[in-house]
Amino acid sequence: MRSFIVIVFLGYAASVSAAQQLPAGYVGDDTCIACHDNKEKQLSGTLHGKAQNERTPAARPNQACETCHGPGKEHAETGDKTKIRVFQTMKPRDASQVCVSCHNRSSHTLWKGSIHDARNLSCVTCHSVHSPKSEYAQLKAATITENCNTCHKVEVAKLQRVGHMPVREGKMQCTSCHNPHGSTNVRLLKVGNWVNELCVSCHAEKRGPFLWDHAPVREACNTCHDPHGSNNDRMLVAKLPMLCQRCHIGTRHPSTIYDGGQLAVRSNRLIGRGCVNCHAQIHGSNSPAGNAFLR
Amino acid sequence: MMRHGFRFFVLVVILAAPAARSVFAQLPPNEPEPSTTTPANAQSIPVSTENFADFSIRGTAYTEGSDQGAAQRYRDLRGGGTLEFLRFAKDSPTRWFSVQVDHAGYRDQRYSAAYNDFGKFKGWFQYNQIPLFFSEDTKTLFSAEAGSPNILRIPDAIQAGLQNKTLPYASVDALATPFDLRLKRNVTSFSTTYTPTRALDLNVNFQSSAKGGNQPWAGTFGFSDAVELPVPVQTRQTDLGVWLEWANDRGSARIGYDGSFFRNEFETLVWDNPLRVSDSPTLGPLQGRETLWPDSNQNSGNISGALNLPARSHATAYLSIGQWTQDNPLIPFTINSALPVIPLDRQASDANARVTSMNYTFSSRPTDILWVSARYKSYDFDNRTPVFRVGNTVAYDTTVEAYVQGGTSPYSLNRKIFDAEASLTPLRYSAFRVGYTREQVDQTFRTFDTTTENTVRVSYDASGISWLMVRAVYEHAKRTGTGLDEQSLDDIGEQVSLRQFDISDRTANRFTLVAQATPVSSFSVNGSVTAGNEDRPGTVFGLRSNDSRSYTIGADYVPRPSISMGAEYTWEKYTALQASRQANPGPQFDDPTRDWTTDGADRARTFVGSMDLLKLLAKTDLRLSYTYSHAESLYIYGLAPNTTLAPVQQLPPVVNELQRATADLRYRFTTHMGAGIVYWYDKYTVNDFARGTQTLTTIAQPSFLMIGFLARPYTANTVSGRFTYYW
Repeated sequence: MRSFIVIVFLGYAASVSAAQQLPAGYVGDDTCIACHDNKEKQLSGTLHGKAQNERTPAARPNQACETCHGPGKEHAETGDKTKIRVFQTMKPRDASQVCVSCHNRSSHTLWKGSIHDARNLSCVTCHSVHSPKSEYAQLKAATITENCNTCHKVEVAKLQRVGHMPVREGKMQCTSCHNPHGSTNVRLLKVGNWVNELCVSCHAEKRGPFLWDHAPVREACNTCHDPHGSNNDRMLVAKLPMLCQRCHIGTRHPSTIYDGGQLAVRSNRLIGRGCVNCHAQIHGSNSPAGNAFLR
Repeated sequence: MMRHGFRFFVLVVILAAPAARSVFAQLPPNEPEPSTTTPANAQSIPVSTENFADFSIRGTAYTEGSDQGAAQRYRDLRGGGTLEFLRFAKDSPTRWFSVQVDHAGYRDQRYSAAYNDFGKFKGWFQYNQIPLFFSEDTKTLFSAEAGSPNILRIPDAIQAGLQNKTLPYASVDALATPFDLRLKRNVTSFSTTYTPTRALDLNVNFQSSAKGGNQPWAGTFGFSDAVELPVPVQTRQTDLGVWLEWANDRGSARIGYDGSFFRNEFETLVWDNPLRVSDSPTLGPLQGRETLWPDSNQNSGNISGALNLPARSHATAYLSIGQWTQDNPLIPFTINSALPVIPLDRQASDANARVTSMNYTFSSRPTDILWVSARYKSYDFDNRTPVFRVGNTVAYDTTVEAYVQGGTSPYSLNRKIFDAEASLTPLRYSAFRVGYTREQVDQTFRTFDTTTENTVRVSYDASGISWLMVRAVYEHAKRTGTGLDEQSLDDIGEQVSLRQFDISDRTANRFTLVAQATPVSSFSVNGSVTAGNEDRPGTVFGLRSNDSRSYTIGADYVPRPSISMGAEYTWEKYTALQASRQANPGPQFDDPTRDWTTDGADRARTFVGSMDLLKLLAKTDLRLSYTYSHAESLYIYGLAPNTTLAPVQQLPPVVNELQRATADLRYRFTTHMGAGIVYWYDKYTVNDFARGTQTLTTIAQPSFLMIGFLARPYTANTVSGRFTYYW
């Protein structure tokens, strides 16, 4: 009995000591867990719950919950849900502000002012700290593609086209090219500082500079390609030769109507891969004789 | 929809069983992302709270005539046994370790491992193979010379027979050798983050991507002698990134280096002329030669910083300076020994560009309802490659001809973008935004010296309401060019009223609306509408206009935790009008009765549906999904009212239709063991006038010797038996 009393006393003393160390208005994790024990269990297995990492909420003694949710004393005393930060009901930028107070480096550095920030999305629009569904990144949806499809429906639908990158085969995903948290590139592209720099980060053979550059290639890859998918080979935005004929109309073969009559005689500008049946070096040539991208 | 409403079901399950999420919970969100979140072949990965190894025996049956190459374009459907998935993670308060395997031993296999000593060190490794199977029934007369895969030869007897017309051209199809046309990327990656102090990270990323195989390529000896080739590909791209990053609650700073090095084993391609057995100064060469992708380097250094300011303001600055270099030795103008040697202006390409990028942002939220931001970005691609002077050149290794432009055009561009945005949130869940963007591009060797595009936009976003999400945006943009140089078009023989569509004057409008309503927690409905148009008022020839429309409707229904289903349908239409004039040099060039137009239209319909029945029957999970994609492209030619051209025969539409159905049945018969069967049905139908079997029945086409890389349909039925061990 004496031991029990000692233990109770020491426990009480410890809790009083811990409480005394808390800032004003804070109640400590134990108080939170008394009601929200499931949240604690969910959090403990995530990076947010790894106290060894001093950047995590759990690294703050007895303040793991209130690091993000704010001081909870008033909420704990009254049960009033408006007296604590509930991220789903906060203004999106208020919610994001809490997250970026720690997630302010690496891929998150440019969140503020990004297009998703401008459209009033918040971190909890896509992520769930306590109830993630994805295998990666604690998303609300099972996969990144599903997550993005909430808003970007046409782009995701294009992934099903015959001309596509290996997204539906599981070898790429939206975040292979995009950083939804902001980037130095345009269109939230993840790598580089212009569209082409993203594309040549995988397709380096096309980056050049070549002896003979092709102007629209240097301008932007998506002049001719739709990276999300298309009904054409190589994800071209139109079939060849029609696509090339948007800029090349001078005389002779670029100006010719490649109609059913040309198809009947199997014109080598129409069948197969169209213009690139001959102009193989369309992305640029390093041959002295490469002015027409034939060599 | 894509099953995103399925989250309601998951939420219910999570709330009902909060303790049973160890694997999800063990996966740190900050690891370098894997290349897959869905496994190879897009099959559903077992959603497990445990570690597991999924062993399978699978086989695929194709209907007769199926294009097995297309069916396996980015995957490997060959039969046999494999470790289909391994998901292992071990967690402790201080460390986390994981290993993942997908489809071990096959062409689309993937292995990865990650380690996290929380707050001190993170490491990640991945080896990933990505196949690209073009065709299994391509065939060619060419074969690689021994020891030289980049020298493609045709037996001399065939060349001589074709040159002397003793061998009928049409008969070469029977002489061609079948081969698989395929590529594969093997990507090895690792990244590490070392955290010596609370504020500091040292990051190292490395990736080596080797690509090998063959791909379709072209070699031509003139308008009537085009040749398709299986070009050998053996390249390696090595990327290295190192950066040091410091951050605390006031701001951050970062300095880094990025390097990328591309190496190609074969920088030239030599191939026989099927119609000639000897070089001729007038009839063409014995063989052709062209360059392939040159070795190149890309190096850049960057420095950036971010600072939190008063009034909830935030500023960032970023500067990157890089250099792209490529200095491969130049080959002679021609390999045709019967043509005169043209001296080279220099012996190596000496190509290099200085790339300077800057990015500055400022955002502020001075009051609870007002948010403003501004961004200035510049991207300067300063191509410093000296002009390579060309007086005479050689076309097709066949003909010496004058090159009137006199030399190369090392394109440079300097892009400056300014954005300003303001957002008002008078209501908690609603944001009204106005924005303005000015994008100015200065460029060299183009018809416009400068293009400037001004864009204004307004948007409304309602989010955070549990039962409603609405997002709408309207944009209006106008692009104008200055410094028009019509003479440059005339110099290259183009109509001077041609405008190249990537820089032409343009007026664009775009509207997008996305909405989702969740009237009850078990049901949600969503939809979207987009509409856009682009007009190019200054364009007489070239792309004049293009429009787009799309509609999406979807729904999710989760009547019980064990039942969830969803469906989404998308309709899209894209149109484009372009104009040209069919002419030979001379009077035809200025004859408007020879004008013609192409009215192109792409229509697409996509349906995605799924249903999951989890534990509806004891210990049994059943997942069903179906995807349908139908896309049709039609190009309609139009002639001038007073045309002098012959009547046109319209081309048939290009139609591609894909269907995919999957059924995944799993039964957990003990704590540690489960079994299942997975079925995939893939069907592809195609009607493509340019690459279809209706059009192309032989590789010996008039004026074009092909390799038979055709668009053919397939139907594939894949069954996979599974045994899963959990622990």
